[in-house]
Amino acid sequence: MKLAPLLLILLLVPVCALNVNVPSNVGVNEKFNITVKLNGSSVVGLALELPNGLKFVNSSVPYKISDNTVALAIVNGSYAICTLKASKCGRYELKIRWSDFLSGKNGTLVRWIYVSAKPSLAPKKTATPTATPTRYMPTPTPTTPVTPTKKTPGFEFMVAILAMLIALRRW
Amino acid sequence: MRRIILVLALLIFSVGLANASYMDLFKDGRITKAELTNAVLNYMLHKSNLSFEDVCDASYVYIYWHGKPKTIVDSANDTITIYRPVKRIVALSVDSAEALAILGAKNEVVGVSKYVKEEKRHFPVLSKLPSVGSCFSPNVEAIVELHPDIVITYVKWPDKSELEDKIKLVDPSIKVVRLDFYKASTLREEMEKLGYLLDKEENATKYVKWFDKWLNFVKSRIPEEKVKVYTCGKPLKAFGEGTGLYDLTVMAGGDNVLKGKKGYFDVDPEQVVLWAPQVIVSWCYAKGYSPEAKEIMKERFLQIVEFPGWEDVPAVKDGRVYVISSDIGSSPALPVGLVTVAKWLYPEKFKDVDPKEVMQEYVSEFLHLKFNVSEGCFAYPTW
Repeated sequence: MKLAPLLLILLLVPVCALNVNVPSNVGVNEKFNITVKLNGSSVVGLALELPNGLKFVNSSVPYKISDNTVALAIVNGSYAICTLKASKCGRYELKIRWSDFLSGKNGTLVRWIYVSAKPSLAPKKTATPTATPTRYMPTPTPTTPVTPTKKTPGFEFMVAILAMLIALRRW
Repeated sequence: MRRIILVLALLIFSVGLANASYMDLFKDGRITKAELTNAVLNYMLHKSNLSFEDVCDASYVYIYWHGKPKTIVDSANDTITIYRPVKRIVALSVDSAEALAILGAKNEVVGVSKYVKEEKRHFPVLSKLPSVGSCFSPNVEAIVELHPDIVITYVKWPDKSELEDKIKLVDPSIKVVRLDFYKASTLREEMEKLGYLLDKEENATKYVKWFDKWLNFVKSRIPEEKVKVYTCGKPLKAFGEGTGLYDLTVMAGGDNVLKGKKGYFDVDPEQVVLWAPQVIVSWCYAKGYSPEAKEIMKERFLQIVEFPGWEDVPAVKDGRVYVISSDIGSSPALPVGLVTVAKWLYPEKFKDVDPKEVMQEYVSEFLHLKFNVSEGCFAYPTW
């Protein structure tokens, strides 16, 4: 009986037309896959806005690249695998715009990826599906130059001020 | 120099691709996977002239229509080709509005005939939509403002100069489809064609099966010895060959005294006496779903049975004068009209059939109305 309201809420929550799987931790210079699974076969377009530090490698479905955006097209299919590579350490926000052209729905998803100097701790699956290159347009190299991002003073700075305040108070 | 020309040519080509319109997708007759993929990718990169709706439509056509446009030949013998799923329809006739309700396409209707608006019990949903005049006097401006994909009207009404020619000047993308939905000879095929055009084949098939069931049933019970029948509107307005009522009585197994005489015409009262019909069936445009229908039909009935000099006409003498509403005589409800007339002509052969039940089945199963047919009047004397 207590489950009823929960089930009702679950029914009322709009269901996303696609399931995007992104590894949360990867190692620097390591290739990793973003897997997109659809609820059944459809025609779906995806646009991945790659931040500096993430590079496109290839995709299992046709793609096109413009500036730092990679567009993927799933036509009458139900999944796509997009392989990326992290060129430097950091915490990256990956914005994925999607449009389901059969259901007429669209939206944006945001995923975070942590790239550390050490290789990813996640055990590597032996049967990890790899994206077979189905390059749609020639020379699909991202035009965005890989420039080191400047760390903004944030947490460390605040901690230093707080420590200084405590020290001054004691003094 | 050559390099510059080559670069310019490539530039023009690539700009051309990006600026392709929806119809360009059909340049080679159908949307291919490569074309749709390109359209999706360009759209996602904001490098396309196609709107979200365009890509959705192209995807729909690719998946459900195998990339090809849909083509039918309508009842006016015009070839109609559509390149997108039909989402907005104007029904310029009552019969097409009823056909759309049967097909389950009420949600796609955006405008209706003024006569549909008057029939709130018959069309509780569609009567709330904007009026676009009538098939006799269409308001082209109102039609165009509704941005329909298609307009459905009768084969004869209105004249093409009043509809197609005027619409073409404002919005050539609007297609006019001429399907009658009231003639027994074309009704079945028309329902199938519209069902195909609107991707409502399943509902069209369900209707056609029901249509065939009653047509075959009546056909199987028509006796060898046929009854002489006279068909009219007002007592002296004969409904000859080619009219809906004439066809209905012939389909029901009647031997119509107007055989060989075409269309609507006036007759002498003496001629009716000479024909000596055993049954008279009169046509009435009273709206059968309305509570006033019974009185209007009764009035017509009395005009015939009390017609001076017709006391000895067998039909009048034997109490076999009937009035039928156009709602069942010439509309997608035609099988109901057929069963009704067949029972009037051969009451013994059809004593186990109740036309009222057939009508209730039609109203509930096909029009999806919560309407008790006893509240209306579709035949007089009433069922």
